[in-house]
Amino acid sequence: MSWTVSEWLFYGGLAAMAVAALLGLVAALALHAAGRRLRETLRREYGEKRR
Amino acid sequence: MQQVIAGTYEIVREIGAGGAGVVYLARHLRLNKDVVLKADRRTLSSRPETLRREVDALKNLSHTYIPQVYDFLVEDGVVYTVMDYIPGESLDKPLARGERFSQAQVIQWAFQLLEALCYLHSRAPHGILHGDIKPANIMLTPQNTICLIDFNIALALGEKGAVRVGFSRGYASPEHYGVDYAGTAATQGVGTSATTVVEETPETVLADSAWPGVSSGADGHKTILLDVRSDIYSLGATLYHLFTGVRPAQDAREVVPMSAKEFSPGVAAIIRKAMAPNPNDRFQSAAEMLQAFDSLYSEDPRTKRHRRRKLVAAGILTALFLAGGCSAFVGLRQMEQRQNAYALAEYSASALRAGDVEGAVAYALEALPAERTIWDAPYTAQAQKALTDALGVYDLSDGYHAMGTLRLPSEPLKLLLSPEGGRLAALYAYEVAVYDLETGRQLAVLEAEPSALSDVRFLDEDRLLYAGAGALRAYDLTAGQELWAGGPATSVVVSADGSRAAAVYRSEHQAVLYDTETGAVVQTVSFGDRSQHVAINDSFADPEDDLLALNRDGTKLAASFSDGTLAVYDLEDPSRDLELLDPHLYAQFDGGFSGAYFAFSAYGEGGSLFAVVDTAQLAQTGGFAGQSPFLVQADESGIAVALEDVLVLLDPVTGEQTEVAYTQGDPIRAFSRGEAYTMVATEGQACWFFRGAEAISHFSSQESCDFIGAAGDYAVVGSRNTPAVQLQRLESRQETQVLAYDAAYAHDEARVSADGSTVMLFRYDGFRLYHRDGRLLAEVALPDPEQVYDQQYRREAEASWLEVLYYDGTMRRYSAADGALLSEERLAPPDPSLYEEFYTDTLRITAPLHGTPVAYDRETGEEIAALEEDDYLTYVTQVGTWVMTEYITAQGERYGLLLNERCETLAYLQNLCDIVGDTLYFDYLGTLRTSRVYSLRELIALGESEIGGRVQ
Repeated sequence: MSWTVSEWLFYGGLAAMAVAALLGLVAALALHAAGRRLRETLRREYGEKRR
Repeated sequence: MQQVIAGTYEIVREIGAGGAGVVYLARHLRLNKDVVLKADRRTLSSRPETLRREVDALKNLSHTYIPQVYDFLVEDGVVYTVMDYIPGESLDKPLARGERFSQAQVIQWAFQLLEALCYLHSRAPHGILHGDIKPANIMLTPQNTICLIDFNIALALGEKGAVRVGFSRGYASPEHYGVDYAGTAATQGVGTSATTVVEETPETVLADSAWPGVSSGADGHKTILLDVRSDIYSLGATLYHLFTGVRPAQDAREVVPMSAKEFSPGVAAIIRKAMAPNPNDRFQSAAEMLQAFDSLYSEDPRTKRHRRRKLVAAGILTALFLAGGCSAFVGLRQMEQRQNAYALAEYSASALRAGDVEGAVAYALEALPAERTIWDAPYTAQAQKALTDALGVYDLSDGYHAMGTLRLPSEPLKLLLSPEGGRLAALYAYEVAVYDLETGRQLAVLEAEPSALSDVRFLDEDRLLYAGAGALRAYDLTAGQELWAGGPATSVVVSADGSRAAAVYRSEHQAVLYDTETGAVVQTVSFGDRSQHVAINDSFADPEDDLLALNRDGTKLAASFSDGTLAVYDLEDPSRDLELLDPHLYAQFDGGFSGAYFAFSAYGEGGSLFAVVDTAQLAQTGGFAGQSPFLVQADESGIAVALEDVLVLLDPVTGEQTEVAYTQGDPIRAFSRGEAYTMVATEGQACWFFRGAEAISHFSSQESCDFIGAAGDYAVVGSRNTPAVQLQRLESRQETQVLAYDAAYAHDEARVSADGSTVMLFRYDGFRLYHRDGRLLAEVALPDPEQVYDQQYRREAEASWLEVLYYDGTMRRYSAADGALLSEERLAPPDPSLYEEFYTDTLRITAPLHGTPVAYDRETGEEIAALEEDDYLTYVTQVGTWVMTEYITAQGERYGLLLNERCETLAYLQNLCDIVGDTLYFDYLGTLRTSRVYSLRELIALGESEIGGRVQ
């Protein structure tokens, strides 16, 4: 693909933003699930958090 | 019969007994509420007021996990404390049964115990120590909560003196044994120093030699220093027992750490710290220990790891997002800059086509800003090419070159150059403006007759004759004043010798002849009932269909008329007047006098006619007919006729035609013949310059070329559609010439030897070798030229030669030093497809004979760009980081394109024939000229200095 540097910067930047957003969504979901599992584990180990 | 205490509390049953006394379940008789009566066996050695204060202190305690104390009473010498009845059992009982509790459950109880301890330790004025925390003193309710009971009220006082306390093996802190691991005897925390007296209980451990630091009095009493940290230790030991099911060792130093496999490291660490032998190493307060339990979640390594992962992921993705955003922003900005540069390059090219050189340079410079940052787009090739074209740095031809544009107040009606070309008269919107082309200064603005028919003529460089408002006027440009005024006039002609002028006013039936020096009327020529053709509305348009001409000395006048006739009047002898055409056949006329001959063309419904009449002999000497109009210019220099796309000089005697210009199929619209050059405008909006019959340059115009003129060193091009007049100046680039040779020698290529001493001009059947000083060194005819497959000029180190390859594989090499045959050998027959490949450092360029040359990346093989489609690539030369490609068109014209690394065109080099090092050679048919390759920085500097030096 014969793009200029400017086009690489622009489309590459957009792609990076899209990838970051997508990875962010995936990471958020994964970390949320991991966090929930961790909270469950900690709740089993330490009981409910003191209010 | 149940025992009733103080008439209020009925003893229900005994529920416990300990070192401090007996504990009863009782019922408040009036409230019908279960309470606990704790009978204290202390003798009333204390004063009643002291005991009252104890209970008062306890009665103010109110906490979820501490039983409420309601009353204190004394009966029969026994002190009863009335407090909440806590249902359930103490935790020592399930422990004794071997029950185990989950870590989570014990932590919940730890929260409750610590909240209770925080409450107690913070009571005014000095806080309250429990002093005997152990599973037996912790009630487990049916709701699974705990209640801390049986704390030592005496420790609430903070009074000096002995205080009796419980002492539970395994749960008591080292201080309880009088062991001081802190290395100080001072009590810390609650109140002031207090010594306590140990009561012997089944759980009491008396001091012995195994307990260093424990002092023993002669009466068996031990000295103990207690503070909140003692409660911390006891709580830690209690929790240890609850966690592990094992009572901790009595000696704090011998407590077995909690198993890392069974318990969380954080929990084990809390217990370990709470049970540190040295009080200074324990939690210094219940709040601190409570905080430690609160922090189990947040301080857990897994929580920290999870938090770290979230932070890292958020950080990385945020950075990626921001970096992408910055990149996109910069890229978009650069793309916009590129688009802007492309647009400016287009504007530049458009301005150049319009002849506005200064505007073209300005636009190109705007596309190449000097101030750039690393965030700005790189310079575009299109902008560089626009600047190169505008500056014309690679145009080394002699001839007319664009000088600039002159903007008139409105579209011109007439344009005329002075005889020597130094002045331009422009007629527009009923004014005549005169400009000095050398200085660009406006010399005069004169009011003209309000008609598009109005004429203007130069008598010489300094004097102007024009159809002024209401009269024919003569004006001195140098003096800036009117010389004379005659009668009304629109059409004006001047004799070749400048002595006479003839004028016709609109459709009048006469012409008036003037003496140009004085303005005196010399003669009036009557047209009878005829008049020249005039448009119905002559305000805005002059169809220029009329013919009005004077001969050299003003003795003959030719005129065309609206009825289609054409007459030549002999002003000296009317009997010799000539009527040349029959009426109604023709409407458009052109022509003039050349010596004794009158040449004219006429065009009408019947076609076109050209004829030459000898006015002395009153006979036609030649002529021809056609379908398209003929353009005729007849003056003292000769008779020129334009037929379609050919301009010829006609010999009026023999009729012989000599080609002067050929516009390659584009019909001629107008022409102007100067001394050395002929200027031709075509219907295709092109302007050509010819020297002899050789086309030396041409350019395209954006508008129709309605007015052209070439005289002296200047030429002008104007259109009725635009007030901008293009100016051209005759320029010589002789200083770039390195060789002059016989221009008649036709050749395909010109090459310079490696040492620059010789130039070889070769074609398929031979070559000429010239020395740089112009001497012809050799002329060689190649044998069997029809069998020549290819010719290549080679340079290697200081040697140069011409290789001639034949179809049968014969290779002949000729020296570029003297033209001698160097060698002849037979090789394999060449590929007849004439396919070639060229290589530079980074490119591989394929050049098929019948295909488009394509450039590929030499390393990756990726196609970079297709080059010129219609022309044949002959040579490729690397020039620094750029590449020079040389082409030949189907018409045999040679040119070069300077390309960047993306094969974008940076410059167009017409007539480029060779490159040696960084020296460019241009072949201008008869001369060889050189230039160097200009860097972009040089071009920008040239452009900036150029802008202020052009005529505007």
